[in-house]
Amino acid sequence: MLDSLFSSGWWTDERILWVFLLAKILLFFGVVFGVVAPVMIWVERRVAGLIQDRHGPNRVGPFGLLQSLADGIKLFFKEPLLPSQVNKPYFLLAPIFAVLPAATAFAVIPFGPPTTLGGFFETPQRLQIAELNVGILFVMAVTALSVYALVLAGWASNNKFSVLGSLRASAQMISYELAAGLAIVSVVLLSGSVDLVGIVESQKEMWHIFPGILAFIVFLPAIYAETNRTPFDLPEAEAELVVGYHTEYSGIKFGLFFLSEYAIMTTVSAMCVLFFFGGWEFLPGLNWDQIGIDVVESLFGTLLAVFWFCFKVSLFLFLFVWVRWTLPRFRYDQLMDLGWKTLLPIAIFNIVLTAGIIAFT
Amino acid sequence: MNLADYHGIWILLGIGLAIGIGAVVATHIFASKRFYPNKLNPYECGIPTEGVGSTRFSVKFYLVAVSFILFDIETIFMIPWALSFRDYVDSGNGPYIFVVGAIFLFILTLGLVYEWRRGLLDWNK
Repeated sequence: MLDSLFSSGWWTDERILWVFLLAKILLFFGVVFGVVAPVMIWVERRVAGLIQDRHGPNRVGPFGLLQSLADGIKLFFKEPLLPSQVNKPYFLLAPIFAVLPAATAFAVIPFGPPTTLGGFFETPQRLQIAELNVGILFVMAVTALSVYALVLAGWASNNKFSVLGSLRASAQMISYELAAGLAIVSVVLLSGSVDLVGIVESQKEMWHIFPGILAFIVFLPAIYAETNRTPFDLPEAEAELVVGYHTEYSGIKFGLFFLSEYAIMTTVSAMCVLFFFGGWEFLPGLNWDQIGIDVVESLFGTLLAVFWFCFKVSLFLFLFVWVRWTLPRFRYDQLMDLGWKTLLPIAIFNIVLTAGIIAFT
Repeated sequence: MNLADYHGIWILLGIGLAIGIGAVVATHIFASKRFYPNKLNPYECGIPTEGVGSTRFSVKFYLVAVSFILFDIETIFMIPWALSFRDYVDSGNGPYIFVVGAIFLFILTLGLVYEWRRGLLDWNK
């Protein structure tokens, strides 16, 4: 049957591209939401256990790997509480709003080099769900949208802890977005492109981490603050705000917030790798071509590059976990001071420095 | 670059909506529901709730939002400048484009210094 389908002329070029697009979506979405996010939740708890000298979840499945699945089923069948004081439509809408940016933000993240899939395509196709040439702007805009879910959740909960948590979350996210944005400006200066594939290609000779070390120093805390991770998890602050904006959420509605947090974490880790650590390039100053591996034409090379990219992203994901269980939380005024009085001036200075070096050498 | 490049985003948006709405609707259909008034109280550590949830909050949050809008628009203005920077450098106009950007950033920094001096960035005041 397959043979007749192939020979019947159904496979026009356009249809092949559509199938390729759907395959990319299935692969990437499935991996991020079905594998990375659940496994990261498990890794988080296991590493927390290791750091705190205890076991962590190790009962469900091999090494406790299926813990997230068990938790998901449990959360799904947990009583869907709607506390009496909440604003019901917005309360139900907030977790859906949290999933949307998480589900769309990685659309422009290229997870491998443009490839012909071992000669299957005539021209190299990008391993990117949406082939936008303004990838940076898209990913900045969409990750910034996740603040709406937090504000909506806090406000609809009509609970003092939640309102305070969501206010803190919005002020923190917008403050650190400035620093992150200005750090990205210097990445654009270095690479001369706002297309994420173009940015990686500009790092063939030298990764941006070396000329852009200051930008990276600004960008890393900024993305931690934007994803509300420790040491910047003040919106959640268990001890003072009983987890802030999702105090009133339980069951799968809480699960959706949790899942989207980890999906956004994956996206920003990928951004770190793409902006500063050469994306799928092999080593700084040593690209795949130089060691004789063709990542565009050969299927093996492509898979190797995709694997290398995933490896780098998982290093950054591990860093998120490591930092969370090592550093204590900031005080709120310290957080604002760091954002506005330290990171923002450094970022502005770095733009002038980078531009000056490029212009006068 | 054409509109077809956005198809993937629309599909992802659809999947996200389906997951979000599906999970919320399905849990209200399938999960057990045994509510009683005390269970539906606001979670405020067991103490009876006083007043409404949405209380007054510090004006600082508004000020942060206003200065964010200013600086964020400046950031977006910087991106086209950064993007065309190399072209100017390659055509020998590097110092010109650098000075133009530096003047813009200088004005931006003046705003930051003003806010700083006026104590807008001091959260404890």
